[in-house]
Amino acid sequence: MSADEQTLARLMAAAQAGDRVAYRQLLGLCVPLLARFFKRRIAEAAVDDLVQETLMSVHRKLDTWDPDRRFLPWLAAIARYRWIDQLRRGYRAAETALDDDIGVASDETAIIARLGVERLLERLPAKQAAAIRATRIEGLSMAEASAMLGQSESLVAVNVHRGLKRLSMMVEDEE
Amino acid sequence: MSPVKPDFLDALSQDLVPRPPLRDGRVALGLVAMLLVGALLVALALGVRPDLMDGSAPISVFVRLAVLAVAGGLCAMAALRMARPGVGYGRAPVLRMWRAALVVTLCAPLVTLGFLIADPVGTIRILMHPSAPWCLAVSIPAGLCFAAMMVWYLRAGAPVNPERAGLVTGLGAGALGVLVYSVHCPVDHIAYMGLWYPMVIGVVTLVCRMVVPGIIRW
Repeated sequence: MSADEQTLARLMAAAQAGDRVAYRQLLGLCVPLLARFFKRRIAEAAVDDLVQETLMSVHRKLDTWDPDRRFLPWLAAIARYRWIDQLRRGYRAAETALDDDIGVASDETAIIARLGVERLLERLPAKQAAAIRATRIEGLSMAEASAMLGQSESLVAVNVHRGLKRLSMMVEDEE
Repeated sequence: MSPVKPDFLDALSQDLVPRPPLRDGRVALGLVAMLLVGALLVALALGVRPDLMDGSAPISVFVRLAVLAVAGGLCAMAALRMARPGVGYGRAPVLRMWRAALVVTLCAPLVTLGFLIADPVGTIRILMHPSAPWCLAVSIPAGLCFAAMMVWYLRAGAPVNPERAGLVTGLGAGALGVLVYSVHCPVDHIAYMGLWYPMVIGVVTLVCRMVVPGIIRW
């Protein structure tokens, strides 16, 4: 079964009505979508946990999807919220290498590019984005990030704080 | 390779119970009911303006009521919508009107300042009207009651920007709180409304901005 908007919305509507089979299918389709949402935007080792946490949030907040609206923007908002929450908690990854091979089917690429988290970091001021990438995605210490970015440690901390605050204001923005 | 074990997905799906979609309309009706009850209580405790009862009130009184109702209603609508997230969902112009309410709230005291500069003695006499303490004592608690109902709904929802949700909740609740009191408010002078009304809205908004995000975060 493909993870297109129409299929996902139909399964979600059935899930809201209590259809466990449809819900299981929906969750199964969401897993790879979410993994792609988060890939390269968080340390590789954290992706599984974040996908799982997002699915838990989907489960808890199932009734906040409006059947009159599209499903993927709802899922994207929840995924972005969990992602920013994860960044805020300052996950320090043991594994920091980022995989360049996204390998997404072309129709899904468009959806993920539009609704995903990729553009959010790009919309931050460069210094804030760099500080978040270094400390919250690549898992560098403040001292390491400071040396790499040429910012003082306190400035890195301030930039992370301001960047995360700004990110949380953009969760529902399209661009 | 799936990053999540099938057992986990099975467990979630087995845990499913029917969950009908949240509807903003129900809580909006609750807010309207609260508004009517609040206005009734003010009428019983303090009385309704006589000229409002017989329809002879100046047009400015009706404009005031309409502005507060529209501002409070739009802000409340925007706040309630935040319970149901979605990328791009909040772009409808009607859901962005809270920004105008915020600007008006922040700028209105400048009008009072203008009156104070032009006529300090007369303006201070108007501002110190005996109604002023009642305005604060009634409107702020009323506003907080509206906020409580909206927060209850937001907690059931999934607001993805808790800080903004707190701010907009406060703006809407504050405006509705003033609306409840304004059925009694005997002062029509713009200098009075430019100080005390924004002060009520500002206090409720500040409280909500500080307190609500921690309550609705999920």
